[in-house]
Amino acid sequence: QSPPGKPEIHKCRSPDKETFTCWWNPGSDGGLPTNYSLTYSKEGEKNTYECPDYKTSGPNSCFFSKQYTSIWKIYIITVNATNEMGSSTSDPLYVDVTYIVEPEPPRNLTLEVKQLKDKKTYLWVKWLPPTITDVKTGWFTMEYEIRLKSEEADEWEIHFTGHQTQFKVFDLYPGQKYLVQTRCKPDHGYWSRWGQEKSIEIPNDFTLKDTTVWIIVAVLSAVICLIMVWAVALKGYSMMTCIFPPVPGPKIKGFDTHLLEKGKSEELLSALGCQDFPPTSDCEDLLVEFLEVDDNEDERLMPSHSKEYPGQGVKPTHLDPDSDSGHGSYDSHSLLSEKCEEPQAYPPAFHIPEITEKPENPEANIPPTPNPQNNTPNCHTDTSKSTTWPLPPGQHTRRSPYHSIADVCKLAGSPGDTLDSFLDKAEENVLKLSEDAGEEEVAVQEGAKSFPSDKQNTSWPPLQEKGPIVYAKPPDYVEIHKVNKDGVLSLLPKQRENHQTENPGVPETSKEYAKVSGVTDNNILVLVPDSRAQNTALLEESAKKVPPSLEQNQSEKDLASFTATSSNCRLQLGRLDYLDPTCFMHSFH
Amino acid sequence: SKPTAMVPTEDLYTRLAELLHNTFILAADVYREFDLDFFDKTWITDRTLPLCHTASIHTPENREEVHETKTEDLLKAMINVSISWKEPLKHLVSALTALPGASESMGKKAADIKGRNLVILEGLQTIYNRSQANIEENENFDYPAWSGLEELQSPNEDTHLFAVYNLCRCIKRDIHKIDSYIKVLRCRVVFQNEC
Repeated sequence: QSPPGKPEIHKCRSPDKETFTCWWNPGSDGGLPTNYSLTYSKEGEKNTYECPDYKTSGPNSCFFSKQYTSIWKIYIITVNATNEMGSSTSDPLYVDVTYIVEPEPPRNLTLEVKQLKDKKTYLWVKWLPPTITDVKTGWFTMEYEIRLKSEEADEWEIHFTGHQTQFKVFDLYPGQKYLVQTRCKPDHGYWSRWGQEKSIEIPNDFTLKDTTVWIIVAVLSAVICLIMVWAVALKGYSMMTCIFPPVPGPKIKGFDTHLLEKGKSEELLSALGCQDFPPTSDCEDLLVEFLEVDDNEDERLMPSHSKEYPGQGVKPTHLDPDSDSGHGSYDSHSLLSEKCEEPQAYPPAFHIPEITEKPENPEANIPPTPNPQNNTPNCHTDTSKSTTWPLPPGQHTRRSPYHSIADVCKLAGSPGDTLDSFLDKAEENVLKLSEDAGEEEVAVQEGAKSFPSDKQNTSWPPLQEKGPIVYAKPPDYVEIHKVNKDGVLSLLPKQRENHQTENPGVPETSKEYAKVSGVTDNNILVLVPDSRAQNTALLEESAKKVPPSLEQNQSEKDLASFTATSSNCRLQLGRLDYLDPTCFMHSFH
Repeated sequence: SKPTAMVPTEDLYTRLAELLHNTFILAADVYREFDLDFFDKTWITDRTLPLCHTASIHTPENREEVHETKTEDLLKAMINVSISWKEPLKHLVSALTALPGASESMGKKAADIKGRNLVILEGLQTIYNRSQANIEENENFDYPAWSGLEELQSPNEDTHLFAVYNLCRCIKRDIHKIDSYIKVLRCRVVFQNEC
């Protein structure tokens, strides 16, 4: 037997911050019955009090009701153990009620499995605060925790939920059974114990639904694939065409095959941008231009002749009227001058009728004009010019041979006809020459009708002399020997040797040179012998000095010509510088 | 500088409650650390625990009394408690900083509590002014003076430590007291007792 052991205060707790309880552990009892008593005092007070209630909280405990509880004050608590042998006291414990609060666990825990719109499942946990705690008025401010685990697991999974009284748990395994508990804690107090355990099983229905969804997706996919395969099978060709379009052939820009098919090469070439070949008309134009250039050269030759004319005004004036009317005016002036000179040699009456006759001849000839009649007016003009003494006769004779040449060429078809026409012309020429200047027209008409005009011819010996000159002068071709600085052409007759043999007395120099008197419409050069000009001057002087002797010679020549044509030809050859090969030809025939 | 826009009353209560909650945690840490390191039977067994210097400020001691007290009266009581701690907290910071064997964190936490107390006071006064329809310009608050400086500066080690202990336990309690009452007022004013 001994005194009791020292007791120990276990803990003090207040569930509602209005009451509190303290528990102690007794020490050894010493083998004797032992009594325990709890005494306390408050801070700032010297009085000591004993426990107000030893029964409510069970053995070895003391309960302080609201009456004996003051918050914001420290309680100094001790426990005494007493038996017959003695007593012992525990260590004191300082208690502030606000710091020993430990509430009851939450109540009305409910579990529910729910599903979101996307068919995701979760566990919904709800609870209520403990009954005896005043949360609504703010006397208590609670914080909560929940813990859960699957039935087979060992460790709990804890989630702090703050002040809220519900919680959602995701990512749970279907088919599993879960256990759930909750607890709470006031501000600056102690956590409550864990509340009543609840369990719930997560169903497998949702997985089945998911499976059905996948099945539906698979079926639809299969159907779509079948439809596509069917469509491709039906439209295989079109698909191939889309996949492998035909390769286009090569094309030339600007090239139109239709034009090629139609055979339109010109359009084809134009489409290709090729330039056409120069047209043939252009070539013709070029030729025309070339020809024009030749004409210009002829024109240039004319001025040179006109320059020469002033030096020898008389001669060109006589020749020009045949080619140009302008020159005709000059001729009129020159004729006037000649008339002034000539009255001394010849009567004025003869000169005046010549002037009047010249303009009338061409006008009268134009309207009636058959080819043979055309020839006759030329003869008339020649005869009119031949009236001038002695220069005009030479000039006229030279022109007439050219015209006669043309006629001969035309008549070459029939030899007999040519001879007849030739004889006719010869007769006409003779008659014209024989006629007087004043009665030329009348004489021509009369000549054609009858032969009384022959008498008149005998009365004019000089005219008869002119006739053979005309016949003898038509040389067809001439060679150009050379050209002087003054633009004078030096001409050589082809039958020069014959002339020399027949006329040894004539000087060679006089035969070689001639001047261009004019150009006819046919672009034929009309040449005038320079030596003849000098000779004519001499002849004029000789004529003035001894007129009777010349007249007698001419009459003799006329008679000879009338006798025979061959004799005429021979005489012509002897007298003329130029020979007409046609005469020889006709004679041979 | 104060913001131009007024903060709603419910936001003021929420901010103040949060501030007090965290400040209490700091005070509890300081008390626990001192208790662990310096609590000894020698300087407390034969001594009677004195009342805190704010004990003269009446505050409700149970739930019924709290609910029976007016909002203005509760606010006024809390303001007086906060003002009464301006001077003692300065000395507590000095004592803990100079205490041999004390950790550096104790001094820093004490300094932090001192700064927070000033903010708490400003918040309480703002809410009090809003709850008053007719503010009396010359209204004076009645707060008691602290008289523990002599014991705190005593050369006797037991006397000095006992004085430090009392300051630590009292500041913890008073911060907790203001925190509790603010939470009740918030449920009453903002949520009409339906927290």
